[in-house]
This record gives sequence, C-alpha cells and structure tokens, in this order.
Amino acid sequence: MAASIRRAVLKACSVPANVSILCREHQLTCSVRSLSASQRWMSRVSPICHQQDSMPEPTPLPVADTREATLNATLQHEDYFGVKDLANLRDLFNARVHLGHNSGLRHPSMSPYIFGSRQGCDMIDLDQTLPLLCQALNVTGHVVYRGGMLLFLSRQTQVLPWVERLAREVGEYSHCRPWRTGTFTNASSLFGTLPIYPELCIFLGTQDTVFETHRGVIEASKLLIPTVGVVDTNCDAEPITYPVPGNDDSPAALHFYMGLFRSVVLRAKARRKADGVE
Amino acid sequence: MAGISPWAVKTVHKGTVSSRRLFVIFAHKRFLEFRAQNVVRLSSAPDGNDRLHIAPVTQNKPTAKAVTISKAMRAYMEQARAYDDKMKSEVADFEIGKRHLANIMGEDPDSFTQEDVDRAIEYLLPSGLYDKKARPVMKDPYEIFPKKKAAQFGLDGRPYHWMYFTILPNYYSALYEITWKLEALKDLEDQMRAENRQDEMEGQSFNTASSEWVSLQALKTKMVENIKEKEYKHFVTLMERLASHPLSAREKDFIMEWRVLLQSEELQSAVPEVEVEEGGRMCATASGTRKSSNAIVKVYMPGSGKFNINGKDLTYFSQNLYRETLLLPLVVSGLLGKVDAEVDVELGGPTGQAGAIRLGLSRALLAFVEEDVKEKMRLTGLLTKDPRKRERKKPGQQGARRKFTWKKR
Repeated sequence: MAASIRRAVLKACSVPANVSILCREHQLTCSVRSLSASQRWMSRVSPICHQQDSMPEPTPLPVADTREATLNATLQHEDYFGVKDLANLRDLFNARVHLGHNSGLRHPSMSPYIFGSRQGCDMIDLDQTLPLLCQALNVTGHVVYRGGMLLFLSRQTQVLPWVERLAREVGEYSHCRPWRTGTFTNASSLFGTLPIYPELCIFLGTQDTVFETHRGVIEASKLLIPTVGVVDTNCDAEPITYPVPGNDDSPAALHFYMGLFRSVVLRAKARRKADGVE
Repeated sequence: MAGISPWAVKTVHKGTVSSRRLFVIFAHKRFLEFRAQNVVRLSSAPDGNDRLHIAPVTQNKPTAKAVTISKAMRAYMEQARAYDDKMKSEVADFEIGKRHLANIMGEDPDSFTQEDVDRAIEYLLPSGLYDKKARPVMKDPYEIFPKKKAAQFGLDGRPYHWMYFTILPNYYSALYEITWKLEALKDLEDQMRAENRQDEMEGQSFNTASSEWVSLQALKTKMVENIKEKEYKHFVTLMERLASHPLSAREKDFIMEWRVLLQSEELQSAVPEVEVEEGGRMCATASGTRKSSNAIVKVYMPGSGKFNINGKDLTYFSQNLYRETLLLPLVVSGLLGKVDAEVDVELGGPTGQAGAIRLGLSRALLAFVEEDVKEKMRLTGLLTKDPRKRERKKPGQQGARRKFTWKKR
C-alpha cells in the first residue's frame, strides 16, 4: 500500500501546475500591499485560529467502477478536498504568517519567497505562500485519502502539546520529541522490526534548534519520504518536497497551520469513508 | 548540470528556485525497490529547468483489491512463530531435565517443584562464585529468555500507538498526559483567581511526605521501554511541577500512580502487642539498641510520666542532653506525662544507653498512637535505627583513623 501511495504522491508532484493555476485563479479578498500601517497593527493584536467544519460538496467525479479508477479520478479533480476554501490571504496575514526573521539570518534558499525587508526584518511574500500552502494541503489530503500515514513534527516547545494533540485527535502520528539519530535510516535496529515509515512528514518547523535543521528532514529526504514543511526565512527549504514559506515561531501562525491540517485530514478521512475506498 | 547529481530536480514553482537535491543513496534497498516499481527519466524543459519524470511500471499488472498483510507485519508474524517454536522445544527440554534431576535426587518426579530444582542444582553443582547471577541455574525458559514484545502495529502496517515513531511511545505519552493535566490545573487556578476564590485553594496541594517517585528501574518495567537516566530526570522534573501546583490534590490518583509509599511494611511489623495488666492498665514492650547498648522498654498507659531506669528515675543520666534524648519520643507523640516507662538497659555508655532507650521507647509507643502520629515519628527519625558502631583499631595506627605521630627528622 505504501508504494502505491508514494506513487500517487509523486504523480501529484509531477503535475503541480494544475494546483498552482487553481490557486492563482482563486479570488483573493485583499492584497497585503494595500493594507495601511494601522490595519496591520490591528490585525497583529488578534490572532485567529481557523476552525472549518463544513466541507463544500466537490464537483462529481466521473463514474469509476474500480477502486483504482476512483483514486485516479480524484487526482484529476482540481480541488477534491476544497482546500482553497480553507484559507485566504487575509487569514494568512492575520495569523502573522508573513513575519520572517532578521535579514541577517536569511537562508539563501528562501530569498525567492521574500517580499521585502522592513526595519531589518524580512517579510514573506504571502502571494507565493498561499498557492504553496494550498498545494501542500492538497497533497496531504490525497495521502490521507489513500490511507497513508502522516507524521506531524515540530520542535517548538511552546506548541508541542498542541501538535501532539492534533495528531492524536485526527488519528495520525506525531514526533515532537528529541530525534534519535537513525529513527528512519536505522529503523530496523531501533524498532526491532522491519521498518515502518510514514507516507508524509509534516514539519510545522523544520529546525531542531535555532542553528540546526531537524534531523528528520534529512533522514526523510534520504529515504525519499515526501515532506511538507513550514519554512521560515532562516530555514533551508531545499530538502523539503512541499515547502510553505511562513512564520514558524509565533503561536498564532502555528495554531493557524494546525487548524488547516486538521480540517484537511478530517475532510479526506470523511471523503475516504463516503467514497468507500477504505 | 555539471557537478549536480542526475537525481537533482529543479523546483517547479515559477521556474526560479535552485535545484533541490534528493539525498539518494543509490545502493539503498528502498531506492532500488523504488526504481523497480517506477520508470525514472530526466529531461530538459524549454524553460531551462530539468524535470524528473516518474511513472509506475506496474500498470499492466493485475492489481489486487487490497493488500491484506503489510510486509512488516508478515515479518513480525514469522519472527513470532520462530520464537514460539523455540520456546516450545525449550519448555519440553526443561520438563525432561526436571524429571531426570528428580530421579538423580531420588525423589518423586511428579511432585518435584521449582524449589526442589534449585536445591538440587545447588547440591549437585556447588559454586563458589560470588555473584549469584553467575551460579548455575535451572529455571522455566520463560523466565530466562527475554520476552517477545507484542506486535506494535496492525495487519495494515499502521502502528497502534500515535507516538510509535518516537521509539518510546509509552514514556512520551505519559509526558503528554502530565503536560495536559498541568495545563488544566493552571486554567482552573487562573479561573479561581479571577473569581476571587483564592481561599478555596488552601490545602489543595498534594502532600508528598509519605511517598517518593518510582525508581528508574520501576519506570522502565512499567513502561516496558528502555528509558535512560536523562529521560527519567525529565520525567521527575515534570512530575514535580505537577505535584507542586497549588491545586495538585485534584490529580492525586494520577500522581500516586507514579509514586511508591515509603517504608510502611517495616512499620507494620514493628508495632508491639498491647497487654492488659491487673487494674486495667495497658502496657507494651519493645527493645532498642544503639552502639553496644541494649534496652528493653515497657510502657504503661495511662500513667503520670514516671521513669524507672534500672531502678532509678531520670537522674540515672546526669546530663540534660541524655534526659532530653529520652523524652523526645514522648514530646513528638504528645504523650509526655501521660505514660509511665520501665526500662532495663545494659552495656555501653550514656550516649548508647540513652539512644537505645529512645528507640525502644519509640517502638513501644507505636502501640498507643494514631497512624498520622506514627508517620510523624517516622519522619522525625525516631523509628530509624542508628547503624553506626565503634570502628576497630587498625594495626600500624593509633586508632581507627588516627596515625602515630611522625617526624621526618
């Protein structure tokens, strides 16, 4: 099963233009650049936590008689889990996703995603973040839809229990604790069985300490495990399969991402049940 | 392309970002497996970026509806079967060996118990090895071979535990639970403070006096995981934080799961019996020792505080320090002037005798006090025997530690 999921994900990876076009056409409620300074200040005071319950009904799939055909048909669908309704630019801005680090800390791989520098602090280009976020959510949904295992990772102690609770509540897996070297690459000896790997690793922060990349990022890329990662301006985006440029430090932003992932996972599970592909 | 591995892929977003290397180890089994299932082709797109095309090769194969058993589970089941077979033959060998042993010892093989086996082994194979673990043993194979862990994942290959990938799922989920309990208490505290109900928080803290945290070894056994010293310390720190919260008594049951009661067994056995004498007076007898002195103390209840030490009253000891030593158990238990004591003490000097009487008196008083007073006496140290003895003189020295005077010239 794992191999088939990986195949499906890689397929989705090879045709991402589909998703990004979709997101570009998406109606943006406002643009960051048009906001006045006072509006920015106001939006910083009230962090939001996104909770979506109702899922829009997707356009019906072409009739498919086998399970395999149904799975393929969902890949052709432009937005099967309704991820474009989950977040808009205003939400990202309110959740302070655009706030990066001091310009001196900038990682070269992040420069294409940076909008500019304000008072020495890098601002992330939310126009780029939104489609990438939608793509990451879409991939997550498809992996879950195929019964894949998700692993949520974060080393941010401030939100650690929340990340773990998210994973537990949606019936997936979490690893927010110190990473023992070889958890993926030396799994058979550490676990004492044939290795089991998650089908998708979701990093809500790709750094272990402020200086080091999370070992899980490196081990996942060594084993070709696809990764979704929130990358701040000081992070290395290269080893991440689906990078989402955004703030990975403030609780408001992290709770925002968690809300999105919770919604998409629950939606995908509901759809999996409804379509009878379990 | 020069210098870049052929398995480098350019990012597809807006065609601007640098190459993203896949950290591929060519010889890796997983990668070979991946290559076997997919056609991987590299091409140049018109925009100057390289594209990696991956397509499955298994399209023509008849697809099974669902994979019923994952590879990991199949491997586990094979291991488990091998283990069971091994244990079965070991158990059979053990049973036969036990019968042989019984015959050698001239006893009935059918009623030969494990105790008999141990005795026979000790008799037939006497060993002078100091460490008991190094001596020959013959035990049930299930006690000797390490236990096989139950499968951690289901037939579909999905682990049962949501923290499976942390390697120590039980340990880390315990930490998770502690964290959320602490968060709940903090919220409650905030709420109570906001409503000005601080006075209700009095006495809501958990009392840690009569118990201690489980040891590292016990924690390992309880979690069935190989927990290290550092992780144990982290666990205790977190638990301390929960236990020291002003409202921690609400989580008493949870906290006590991870604590062990102190020394209750010894205390139970040490309580002397109460005898009723003529005239309805109760009395209890106990003995105590300190250094080389022995004392037998008989306590009468009710009384008026009279002491009879080898036929004298408290003036048996000329110094106040020794008299105070004697009286400490009575002061702590609040029975000063309410009981009489008859003491028979021998050997040693005044310090040893006073200490011996103190211990004997404390033990005798246990017969007349409540549980909480017993605990108080234990915490004061009245029920603990002082194990110190006179240290012997060493040859070549003046005393136990003191050296002879030595002058270089």
